[in-house]
Amino acid sequence: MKTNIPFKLFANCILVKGISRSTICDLQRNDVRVIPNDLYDLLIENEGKTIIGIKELYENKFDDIIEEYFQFLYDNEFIFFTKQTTIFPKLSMDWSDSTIINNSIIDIDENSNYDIVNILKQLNTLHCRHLEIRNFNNARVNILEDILSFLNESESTIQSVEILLPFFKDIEEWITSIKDKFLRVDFIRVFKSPFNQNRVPNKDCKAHIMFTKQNYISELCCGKISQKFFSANMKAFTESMNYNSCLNKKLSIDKNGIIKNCPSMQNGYGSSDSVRLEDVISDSNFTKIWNISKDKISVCKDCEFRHICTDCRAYTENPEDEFSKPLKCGYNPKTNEWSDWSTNPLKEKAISFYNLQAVTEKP
Amino acid sequence: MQLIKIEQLPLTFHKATITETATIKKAKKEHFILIKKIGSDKISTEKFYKPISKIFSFDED
Ligand code: SF4
Repeated sequence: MKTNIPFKLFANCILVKGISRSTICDLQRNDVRVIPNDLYDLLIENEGKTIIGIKELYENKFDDIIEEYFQFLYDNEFIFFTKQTTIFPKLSMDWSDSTIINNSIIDIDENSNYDIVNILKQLNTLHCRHLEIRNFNNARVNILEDILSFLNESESTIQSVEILLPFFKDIEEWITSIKDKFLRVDFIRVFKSPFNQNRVPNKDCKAHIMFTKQNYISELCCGKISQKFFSANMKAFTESMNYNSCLNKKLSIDKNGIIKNCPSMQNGYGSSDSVRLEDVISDSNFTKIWNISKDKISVCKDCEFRHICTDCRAYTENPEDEFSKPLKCGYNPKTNEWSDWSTNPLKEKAISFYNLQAVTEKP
Repeated sequence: MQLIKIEQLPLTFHKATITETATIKKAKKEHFILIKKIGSDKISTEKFYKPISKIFSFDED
């Protein structure tokens, strides 16, 4: 460590202050570290100074702690030393995306009978890039294949497709039959499987395939907040600073063919068979939720994870408050503890409001 | 460079080091936790920058 040369944080390492502790998010490496708020303040107030100088500022009374802090930052490549501090500007935290809709969820179950190809054609004109198809109850492989064939034939703007579907007897053969034919398929998640398995992409199969014994009965199972869903990259982080990290530029179709921000939301904007997606997007009621960033949401605005956490507006602690904390989050930013949200007595009212009792029951 | 007096230090830093050195030092080490480093076994897709929906979590059993 060069203690006599000014230090700079790498521009891609962003500090986020929470009520009890902070994080450093390395957006290039998808690496997040929790740090004390003391260190956050130290960095914000002293960036561009030398470590020797900082120790002197504190009258050399905290040298060992300051040393330890900076050794940690240096060892993990969050900081570097330079005399030319002004030639390293901050990264812009603006977010932009050329699509009108950038991701979409289409839900189907055994009773769904709306025209999905019609939706795909419209998603194309909205430049949609990423699609998740969630198949609940019984697997409807014919519909899934129709969707994938249409995307191939129409040279759709959709670049990646994720599929969630239940296990069925010949699923291995089915996956083998589609994996080379439909190269847009990026992720296949199979639930209600007799086994748990994680198959990472390899030279024979570019799709990531996961099997779980869990059963996901419907859209009610969505909206979980967990560290597993955190994303620390430039695009996700800057989107979260400016827009809603789940719903911005998202358009979804629920299992009944109703157009929604997300299939779990109460508000619908008409049947996809009769209403044009373009008309829904020009309705400000549909798009206003895109602007609810984490900095506006109660509790989340004090959380050190707020810009790596994908939000949920469908299930909130207070269904009447559009800025309420996600119901399915068990994290308390004050105590820094995670607990089981589903057994929290303060959430009982909201759980029954959304009829979530079935998905909170333990096996 | 202006010298900041102890009284002007950020309150948490001041309190942490003056009154609770032993406990804070211990907690401090535990604080540097690695939260996320995406490997190939994680939930995110290769192509999209965030989870589209939040249903499936692999190791929740
Ligand atoms: S409190 Fe908010 S930002 Fe923090 S983990 Fe929970 S949902 Fe995410």
